[in-house]
Amino acid sequence: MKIPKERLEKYKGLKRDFAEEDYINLQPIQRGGILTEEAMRAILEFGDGYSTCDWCPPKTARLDMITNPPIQDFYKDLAEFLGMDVARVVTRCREAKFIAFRMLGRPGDYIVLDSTAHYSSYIAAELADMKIKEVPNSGPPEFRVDLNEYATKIEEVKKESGKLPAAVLLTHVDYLYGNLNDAKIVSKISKEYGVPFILNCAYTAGIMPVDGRELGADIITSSGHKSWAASAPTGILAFNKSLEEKLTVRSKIEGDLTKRRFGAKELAMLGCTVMGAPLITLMASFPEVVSRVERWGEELEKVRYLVSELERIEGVKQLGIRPKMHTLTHMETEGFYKVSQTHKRKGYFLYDELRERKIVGIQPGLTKHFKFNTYGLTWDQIRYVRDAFFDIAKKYGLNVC
Amino acid sequence: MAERFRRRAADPLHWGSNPHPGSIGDYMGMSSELKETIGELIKILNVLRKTSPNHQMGDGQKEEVIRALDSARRRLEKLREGITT
Repeated sequence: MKIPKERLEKYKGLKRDFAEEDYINLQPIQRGGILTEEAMRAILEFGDGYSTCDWCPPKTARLDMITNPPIQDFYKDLAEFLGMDVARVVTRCREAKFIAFRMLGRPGDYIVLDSTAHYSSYIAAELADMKIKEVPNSGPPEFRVDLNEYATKIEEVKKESGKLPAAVLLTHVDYLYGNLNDAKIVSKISKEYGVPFILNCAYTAGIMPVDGRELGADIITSSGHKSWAASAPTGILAFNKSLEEKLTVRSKIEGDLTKRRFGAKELAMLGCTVMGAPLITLMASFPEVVSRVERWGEELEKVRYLVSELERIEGVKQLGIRPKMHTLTHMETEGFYKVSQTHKRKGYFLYDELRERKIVGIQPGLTKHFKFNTYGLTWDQIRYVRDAFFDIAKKYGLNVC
Repeated sequence: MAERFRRRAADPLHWGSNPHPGSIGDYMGMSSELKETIGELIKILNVLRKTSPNHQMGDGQKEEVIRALDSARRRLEKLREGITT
């Protein structure tokens, strides 16, 4: 089929409306994925399709065996950085979870997970044909996951199915409130039961220090485009030696006519995973990532400062555990909601006002509560955001104490 | 002959070599110089990212931008000279 030329025009000269150079972007999922200078430069070299595969060794044709660019070394360094034994780069954190579920359990098995887990944790279990058992949280205003309840839920699974769950999953920092969960508690419980412990570090590894060994994780999953200054799609699956055999089992299939076999390929990775530009950005940003996690303390100072300043506005209150232990933040904003009730743009007024001040990333239409992430913003940008909110509040007659 | 040079230039085993002055092989150096120039401009983009949205730069940042612009200009001039001589 031929597509008319005029219809193709829209694909030329693609531009982003909210370039990082022009706006302050508070979008919770985007702050940790902003590329480093090295990553931007590396795209020039390795943006073309299979460009990372120029030197793929013919006898062991597999991504993790490539030494130029140093993918093999990177996998080792990545595992060491996370305090794990083995690492693989996969397409997304959700794929890492799916691989873990699929390779550790069987259809019908249970996964015990926290009730603030990302939807993709549920869907990964669904695709693996597994059931889930949720660990409750305290509800408003803290939404704190009751980590000791993992033991109760494991017992429930045992009672219902006659066997232990295939794995337990804890979301290290949840996407809703940015609460940091104490992984050691869940690790201890999972070890007592002998159930593999998966720590989902989509919002933590890559921006704050995460040591899987210290936290007692058997598997760590993470997201390159969310927290490792990499392009999408990039995910990380890191695990301990004890699970290597299960997770990296090789392909055994054989062609019935050709007798072809693919014994070098890792089954769950479907052979090679992320090649080309996304992987290269993850690698190119790695030195900066290793260094930036050491500055996590300052990131916490900035978010706590902004939260305390925004709470000076009438009707504004932070949700989730206090003090903030992560830069992803959920605010309840009754004052702005009241304004929206009489504004002609309704809930969109706040978005409009922020956008006018070159701030984006707060979901359009939301005024009663919204999320933001301050990760990587400079102090000047933090103050700019504060001033913009104060300005909007005063414009609509809200008190700023 | 031209085809031979083109193939040689595309062969990773010959990267970095300069098979014949004035031949297509010279463009290997040109592409690397061009990428370095883009790299200098990327540095500036990164300063803009750190100072968005009003781009009030400190003295250090201004110096960094000027250094990158100067370096990019020198590289572009060199490239221009190379192609016209």
